[in-house]
Amino acid sequence: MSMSGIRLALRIARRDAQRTKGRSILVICLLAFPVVAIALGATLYDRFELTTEERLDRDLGTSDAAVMWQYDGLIEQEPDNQWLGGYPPQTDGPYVEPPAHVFGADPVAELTAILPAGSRVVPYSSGEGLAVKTPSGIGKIDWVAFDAADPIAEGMYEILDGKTPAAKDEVLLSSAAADRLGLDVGDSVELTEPARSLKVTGLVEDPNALKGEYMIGGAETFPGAATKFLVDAPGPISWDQVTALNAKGVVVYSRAVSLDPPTIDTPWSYVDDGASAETVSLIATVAGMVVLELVLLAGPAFAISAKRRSREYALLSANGATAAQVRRTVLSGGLVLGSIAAITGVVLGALLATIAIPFIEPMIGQRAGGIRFLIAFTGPLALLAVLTGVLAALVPAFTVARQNVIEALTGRRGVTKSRKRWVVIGISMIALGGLVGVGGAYSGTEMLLVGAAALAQFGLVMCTPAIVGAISKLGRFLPLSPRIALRDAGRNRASTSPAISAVMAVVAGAIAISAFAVAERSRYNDNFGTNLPQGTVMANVEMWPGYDQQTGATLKLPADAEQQLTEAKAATEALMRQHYPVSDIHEVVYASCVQEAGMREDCQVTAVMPPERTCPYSDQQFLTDEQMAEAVDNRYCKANTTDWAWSSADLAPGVLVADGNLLGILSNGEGQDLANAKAVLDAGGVVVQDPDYIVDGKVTVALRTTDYNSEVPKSTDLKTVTVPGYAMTTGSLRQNIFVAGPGALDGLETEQETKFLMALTSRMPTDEEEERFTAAFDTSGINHDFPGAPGEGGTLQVYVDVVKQDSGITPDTIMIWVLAGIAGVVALGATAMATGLAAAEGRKDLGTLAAVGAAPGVRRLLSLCQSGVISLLGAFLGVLAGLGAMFAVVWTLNVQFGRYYPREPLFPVEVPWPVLLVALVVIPVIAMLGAGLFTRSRLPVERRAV
Amino acid sequence: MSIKYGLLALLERGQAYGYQLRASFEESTGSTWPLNIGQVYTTLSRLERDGLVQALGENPQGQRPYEITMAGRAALATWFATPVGDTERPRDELAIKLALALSTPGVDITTVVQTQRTASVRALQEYTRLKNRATGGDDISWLLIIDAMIFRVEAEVRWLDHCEASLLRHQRTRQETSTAETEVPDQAPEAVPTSTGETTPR
Amino acid sequence: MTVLELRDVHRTHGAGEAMVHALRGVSIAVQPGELVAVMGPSGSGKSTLLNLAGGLDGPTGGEVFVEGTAISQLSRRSLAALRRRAIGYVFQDLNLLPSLTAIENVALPLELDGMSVRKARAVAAKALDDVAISELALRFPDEMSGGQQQRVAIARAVVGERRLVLADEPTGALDSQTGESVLRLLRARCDAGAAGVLVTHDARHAGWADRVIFLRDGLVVDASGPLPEAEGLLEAAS
Repeated sequence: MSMSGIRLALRIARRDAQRTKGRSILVICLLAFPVVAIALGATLYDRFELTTEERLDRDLGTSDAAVMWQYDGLIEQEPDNQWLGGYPPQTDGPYVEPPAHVFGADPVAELTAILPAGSRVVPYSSGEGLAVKTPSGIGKIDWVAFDAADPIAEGMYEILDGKTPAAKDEVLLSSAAADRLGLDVGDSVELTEPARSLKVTGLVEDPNALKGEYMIGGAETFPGAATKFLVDAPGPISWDQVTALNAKGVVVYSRAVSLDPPTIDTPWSYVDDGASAETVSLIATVAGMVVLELVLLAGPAFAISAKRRSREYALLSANGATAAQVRRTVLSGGLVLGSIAAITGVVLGALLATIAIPFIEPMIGQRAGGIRFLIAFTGPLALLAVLTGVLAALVPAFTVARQNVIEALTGRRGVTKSRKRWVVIGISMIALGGLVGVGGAYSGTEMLLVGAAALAQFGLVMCTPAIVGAISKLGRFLPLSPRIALRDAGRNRASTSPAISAVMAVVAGAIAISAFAVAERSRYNDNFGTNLPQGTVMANVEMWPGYDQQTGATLKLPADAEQQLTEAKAATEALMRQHYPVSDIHEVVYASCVQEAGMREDCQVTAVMPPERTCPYSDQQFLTDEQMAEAVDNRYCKANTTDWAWSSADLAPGVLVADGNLLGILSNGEGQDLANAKAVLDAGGVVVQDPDYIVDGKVTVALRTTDYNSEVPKSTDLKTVTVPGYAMTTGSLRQNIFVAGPGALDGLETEQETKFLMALTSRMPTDEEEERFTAAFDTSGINHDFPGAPGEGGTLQVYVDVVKQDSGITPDTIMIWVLAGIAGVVALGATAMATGLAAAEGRKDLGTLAAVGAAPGVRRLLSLCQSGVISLLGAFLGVLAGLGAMFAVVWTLNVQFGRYYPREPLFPVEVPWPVLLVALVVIPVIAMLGAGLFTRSRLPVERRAV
Repeated sequence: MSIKYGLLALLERGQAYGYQLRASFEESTGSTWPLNIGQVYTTLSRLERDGLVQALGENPQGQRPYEITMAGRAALATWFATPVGDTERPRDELAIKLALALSTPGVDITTVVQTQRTASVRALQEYTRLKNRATGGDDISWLLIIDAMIFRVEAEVRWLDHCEASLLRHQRTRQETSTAETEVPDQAPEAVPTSTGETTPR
Repeated sequence: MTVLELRDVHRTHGAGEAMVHALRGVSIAVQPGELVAVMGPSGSGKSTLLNLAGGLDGPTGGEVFVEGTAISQLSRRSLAALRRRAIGYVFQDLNLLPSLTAIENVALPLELDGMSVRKARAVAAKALDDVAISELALRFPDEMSGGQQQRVAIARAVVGERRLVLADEPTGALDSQTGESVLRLLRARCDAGAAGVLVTHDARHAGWADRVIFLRDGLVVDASGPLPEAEGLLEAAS
């Protein structure tokens, strides 16, 4: 093809783009949108991914290296040692840690001696958790002992306000800490342990840790051994010098070595094996889906433009243009618009990134690096946009080039017949996708699943024209406007199907992902959730004897231990009542073995499962795959991860002693079932959840010891008692919690101790209440060790936690709404575009309608119906496809989780109603309202003199 | 066209006597060309003289049919085969009238054109009405003749439109030249509506 | 009663230098049973006149009355109602909505006017029968010939009680035989009592009218009066 041919095609394409500005801008927006998004993301990532120089400036300031004297003896390190670590050399023998280096009186001098002559050494140390007074109580902030005034610090910290401290009781305060403590330059930080006051001379910021809450003072302000030293050497510190220092046990983070690391073979160094084949194909598939979506969105615009200009192209043909030349003209349109979109997208993305960075920095707590644009990434991205443009123009190009010149010139409008071949291919692809999906599910290969989804999606896209055609036949029974809209959609299948496909694809994606997220969340809640009332404050009270430091022997609890425990409980209760909206406090009492030396460890009180109903693996800790498979199939193997107490606010397994009232709260039971249970409790019985424990209306409770030292753990029941039993059918008592009535355990020698204080609240405690409580609790001295007399000692510990299940806005919920939002925006865009195109196509028809006497509103109604047809059809197909995909994924995962023992909760099939609502109701309604709003009600032929 | 060939053509169908011929003639020309019986007999005797027809014996009703001769058939065939030449048509009075109106002082040629056109259109309307009343396809020959006249008048109307347009353009050019010569520039030529001013509802 | 009357109607497009006079003082009245042809060269204002008559366009001067109502007094909504109740349009081409079947196209003005679908279809079926194409009722325009489409258009133009039929070159895209049958239908409609306006540049088509009006440069330059029941034409033609 000649150069002039290309130029002619490009010229026609450019003129056409100018002539049909609205449509061109639409296509450009569509093609540019993902480019903007990706370019924005890539640029942001690139800006926050510091270059080595930038990182070195922030880590080392202007120094040449940071060093740490770790061991006395040879160690090895990575060349770019940014975490300042070293490792003993690998040997074949057992691991021997060399002795740690202990500094003498003057570490600086010690180091200067082994460093290159003329080096200056600046010590640096840091620590966590200094208690300070906050506006609402007591909080903790970190500290740094470092001479921030030293020129070596430049780049590490930026003084925002004020000046560096000069005296012992002066500090720099990080801006985040200043915000939290409500302090400014000139105010004082009040430390509580021990109490002292430090004057704030300035505010400071670490570009790597904007959110860090810390003070910087001199070595006298925060005394302690320096953790590392910054070295200002006369010249760069080379790798040879580093290895020489390594031989003495000093690890080095050298600027020169990091900038130009030697290639050495270290066995421990992190090997970046690059992107795996799976990741690459996953990215390729996702990129393919995005391109498909874009082609679907932009395609109709080209199709409609090609169709409207079919006469023009026919004239080209009649004047001797070959099919290839006509094709090229249409493709040039894609090229022109794609190029504009690519450039706009990349530039806009970079621009947005620049604008966004000041807002993102405080969020992620890090300053961005220097201004730069990721050409290596955005270049190919731009090319992709151009390619997408050309791809979108491809089908119209071929259709137009093949068109019948006579028909086009005489303006006959042919009926688009859906090609049977497409339907056959489409259905085959869906079927194949299904097969691949099943394969992926059984083999657990995610890649296959993604591929299956893509295949099925492509298949659906190919079937869409036929579906649209079939549905448009239903128009017969509809009122005028929807009838016309539906039939138009069918007639202009070439432009409506891609739009419907686009809506379908994005809705399907959103539904599938969010459905999975919902399932995941509810599985998480099943697993880690608790059935205690939300907002309940649980205090877990523990006391245990100490160990003798020298002999390792268990100490005896002091005589007043019980007294102290009672006091601690009372104090905790008082604090809970003071700070939380407590309505009632219950003590949750557990039965435990009577304490005898060496007995308590492996003795527990538990209900006894009749031997014939016992799971053979109940005591075993680790199961082989075969054993797991057997256990999964055994009806008596009931161990479930949901039975475990996942937080200190959760009830521990065991036998607890309670009255009917407490049973109601703990079990959540109701009605006759609860009444029966209470009756059994009152009669000195035991209430359980699992009916298998009950034999002839009775439950056996035992003192059981388990020997974990034998090959297979072996349990022995020391003593048993059989009492009336009742298995609850309502509520959510866990199967490993047994509730014994008063006196039920009299036959056993048990102790009863309060493990929990359960404070029922009238509402969910606020974060502020929690903070105030914690401040009060931490300073109350409730938690303490008690040394007591010689040979005595122990620890008393109370954990207080609020029962709070993630509800309302959690990250998952946010993600679902974001997805729904994206789906909504894309679907709206596609719908609006297709409606606009349909309107452009139907202009003549509107003229006829006007002449026949359609009221002005009919045009609006027609547009409204057209967007309704497109968005509803797309959303409906998308919901079908999405739920299908979601079921496939959930099923796949359940097949896998179903193989584990102890059993794990499976993914429930839950419909993501928000997304469904958005897809099926909100999007169509907005699209229709928008169409109604933005359509001029005046009919095109109508014109009146003023 | 002459009556001569018309009668010959009728006799080609079969022998006929005078009154029959007149009736057939009128029927096939859709009564647009009335004949009197005298014309028929005069023509017939001329044809007999030239040996193109021959008279047959009187029938019992006293009518004297004629039939076409071989020579007559040959003459008829020649007539059908020969196109009607321009010179054989009657002189176009209208054309001559317009040409004269143009050069005769005191005569407004546009009025002449409009008067003529009104008459022509009136004729068209009447022919169309005739045609509209002629129902059924048996009368095809008559319809053809009406159509012939309709098309002729249509051509005349189109010619009149053309004349009018030409005359107007001619007058305007002359006006412009004269105004230019007499140097009266503020007499702008009348605005000509262009087709862009029209909106066609489609 | 006069079905359509244009009283000294002016219509200009644009303003200032670019102002174009499409019509400058045209007065026409069309009576029931009358078919009036409007002739004239391109740009003479024929189509503007038709648009004004149909209420698709408004005059800059003068007034248009349809069945006695001055249309400049009407809202766009009432105008639309007037169009679907009183006025039938037939255009040169693209008369029909491609998404509707023949019978649905004919029923269109009735449905737009709020008649039930069932009833509208019954009326439309009758109208299609009148133009002798009831067998095409369920076809889409794409599946019909040009002449058949134009028949459907005429059926639609007269369906219901409408008394004014406006035709803009209705035979434009058709061959002369088919065109003639369309004109014959139009004529028959007018003979049955409708008032018709036929815009054409073809004198032969104008021949179907009772009166012919010549437009040039937005003015009526010539008008043939109502045709007398004269039989003397035959002599004139010999």
